[in-house]
Amino acid sequence: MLDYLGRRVLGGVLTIVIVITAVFFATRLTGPAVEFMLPPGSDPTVQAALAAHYGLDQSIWVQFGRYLQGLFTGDFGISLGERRPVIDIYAERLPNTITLFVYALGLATFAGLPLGIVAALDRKGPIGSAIMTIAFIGYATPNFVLAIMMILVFSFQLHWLPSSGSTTPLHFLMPAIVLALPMLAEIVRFTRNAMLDVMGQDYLRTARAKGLPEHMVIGKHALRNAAVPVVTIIGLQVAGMVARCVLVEAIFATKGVGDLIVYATIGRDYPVLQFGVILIAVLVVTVSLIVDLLYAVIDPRVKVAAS
Amino acid sequence: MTNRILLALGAVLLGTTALAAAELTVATQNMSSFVDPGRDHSNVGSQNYVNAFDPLIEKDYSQAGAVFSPGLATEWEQTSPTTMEVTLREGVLFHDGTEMTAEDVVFSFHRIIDELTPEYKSIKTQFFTNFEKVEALDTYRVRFTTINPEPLFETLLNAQQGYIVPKAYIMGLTGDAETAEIADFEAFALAPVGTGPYRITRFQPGENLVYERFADYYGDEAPLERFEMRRISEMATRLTALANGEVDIITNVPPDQLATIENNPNLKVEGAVTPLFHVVIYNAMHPKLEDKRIRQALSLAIDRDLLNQALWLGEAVVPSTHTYPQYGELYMPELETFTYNPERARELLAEAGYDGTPIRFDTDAVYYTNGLLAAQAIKEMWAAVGVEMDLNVTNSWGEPSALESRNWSNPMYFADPAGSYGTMWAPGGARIGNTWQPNEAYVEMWERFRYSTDVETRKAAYAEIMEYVADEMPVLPLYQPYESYGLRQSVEWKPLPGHIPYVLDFRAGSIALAD
Repeated sequence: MLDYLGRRVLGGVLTIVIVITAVFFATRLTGPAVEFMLPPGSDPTVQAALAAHYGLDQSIWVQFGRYLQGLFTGDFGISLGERRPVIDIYAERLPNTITLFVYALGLATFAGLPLGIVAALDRKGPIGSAIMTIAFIGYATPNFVLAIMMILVFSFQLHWLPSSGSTTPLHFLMPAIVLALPMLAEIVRFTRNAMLDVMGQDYLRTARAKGLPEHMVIGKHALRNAAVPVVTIIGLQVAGMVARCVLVEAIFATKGVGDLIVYATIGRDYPVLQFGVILIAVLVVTVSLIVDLLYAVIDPRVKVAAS
Repeated sequence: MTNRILLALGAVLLGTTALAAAELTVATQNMSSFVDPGRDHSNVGSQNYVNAFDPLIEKDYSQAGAVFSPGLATEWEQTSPTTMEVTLREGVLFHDGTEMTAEDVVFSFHRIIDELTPEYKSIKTQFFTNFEKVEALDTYRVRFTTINPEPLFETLLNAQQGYIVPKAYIMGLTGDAETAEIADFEAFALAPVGTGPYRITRFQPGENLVYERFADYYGDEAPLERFEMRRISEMATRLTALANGEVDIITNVPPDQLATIENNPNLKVEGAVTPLFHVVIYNAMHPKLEDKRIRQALSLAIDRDLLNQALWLGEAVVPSTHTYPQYGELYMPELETFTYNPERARELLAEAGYDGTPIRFDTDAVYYTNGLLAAQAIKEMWAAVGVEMDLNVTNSWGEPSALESRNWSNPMYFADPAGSYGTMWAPGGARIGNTWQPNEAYVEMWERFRYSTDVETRKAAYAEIMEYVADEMPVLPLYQPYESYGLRQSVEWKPLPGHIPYVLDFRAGSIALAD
């Protein structure tokens, strides 16, 4: 088990090291930052003076060395646009994105699992078909279309919900739904299929035969075995959610990390962009590790195979 | 869900009561990452300063012409062509409670004149190149000394870049409290303090700015208790936030969205032609465009009136020369610098032996309203005279020497040709030596225009400069855009003609809220 975990952690660390290196060089390829620190078309001599002040005129290897040194000492640099520590900026933005993620993840999981189970149990019935139809529509609708449609209906026409910002929980409702929907649809589909798969197995017949009540049969024997693919899909979807939140935050003017990264990219704010990418890499790697761990918890065979 | 709806309704109702308490929210397309009037000349920055800072000399902004009035200075006198003595208002408090004195005035100007940061160097070039020194004569008297005679003392002391900032507060922000370090200015730009009718109580760079009434303001009390500027970049979201009552004013409404606002009984549109040109610039130092006949032809091929009709519904202003009504006596619409003549364009191209090489034209996809659409239309206009445009959509200016042509904006930073044409094209301006190298006669013309204290001499010199520009063609002003704002019906506000572009003036007399 420890060996299994060790290999996974090592793989994760290696991934992050590669990301840290790649992001540094990739950001430098996007164009000179000083051009974006001054209004468009500013005098090149002023641009040069600014570049010298921020050490952007030094060779790329010197800059890379400084960047690595900073990472090791926990200094993630100063934003070129805002001239304040990158950490301070993320500290302001991260709570909004986390709130959004928690809402979306909660919504997708707590609604998706029961709906998937019901869809499996009522496979040929009207309820099951209805759930699957809605899930497919949810899966097939691009999230920006859904976002703008929701804004038009609930804000523009009905005036029920605020369209933009992140000041109250209500502000998070529409973005969370938009963010959650593709994930919800995925969870419903995978839960249903996994349940159907498991429900045909012999051990369920055995469980029923030994007189277990139906909720035990479904809840314990079927669901636990169906959980592996479902956990996998939740893990994958968290990574997808990071990508989607960029768009969702832009449309709903949620002042979160996605919005920040978009603006840092447009403004060539290297330090902010770098930290954002590293943060996302760490998040995705951590979620993958947790999923790997959960496999072992859910499915004892993983533990056996690993040792 | 019913609870949520009730909550939402509650929120909307709360929003309405908030308005009754003289509060306001503005949704802007962009938001600055710093707030320092002396470091900034960007369009987005112009939104931030007028409510929280004061100039030495004030101006009547309700009209385009220059009618000056006392600001932080109560009296001023030009004691010689190169000196001006200013008497300060006594008892003016900064938002941190300290009194404004001559020390602060000297510091405010010298941080720019002495180029204490690279950005101040840029501001000096465009505004205060002629300023040699600023000295305190006593606690409330200051003397300005210039290198050449200065006809624009009042205009420059009214400019945003000349707003007064607190010396002791800034120097005390980081490190040694007795010296002004770069870090002090960077800290100030995140926690700005001025003398204006509103103080800035919250600033999240790139996100929002909150202003509250400053009780100790020396002048007329601010009409709003509190207002907030929030960035909502998406036009559709900004418009919805306005229709939904979440915000009271929205900025940067493109012409094709005006009908949506006008058709909503709760909303209205206010707008004005701004003292700013969208321009096309040519790199006269690029081998493809070295021959001035090519540059002349490219400009003659552009039907600017058609662009105005098609993109601005005829609301923009197509100039005959580089001039604005805001220049007062220097407003010279009679000059005929830029014209449309496709036949002449074809002749010039033939004379210059243009061989059909495509000419690159750079444009950002979104930065200028209608910028990309105008570029696409210009591509067709160039094609009509036989020039192929290689339209390059990018948000970078790229390698400076590789630039061929592109769109740009040329705002009025202060109300004089030197404050608009001059900021870009005066000797030493942002593009000189980079995309255009004028001759020595031009430098002489410029000095005569810039430093003469006689209005007629200045006008004659500017006419000569424009004649030279028509021949050299480093730049073509396309039009002055019509900038529109969307407002709730309850808000009485409109952009004032005396301001530089994009200023959101919420001072006494400039805004009122109905019940």
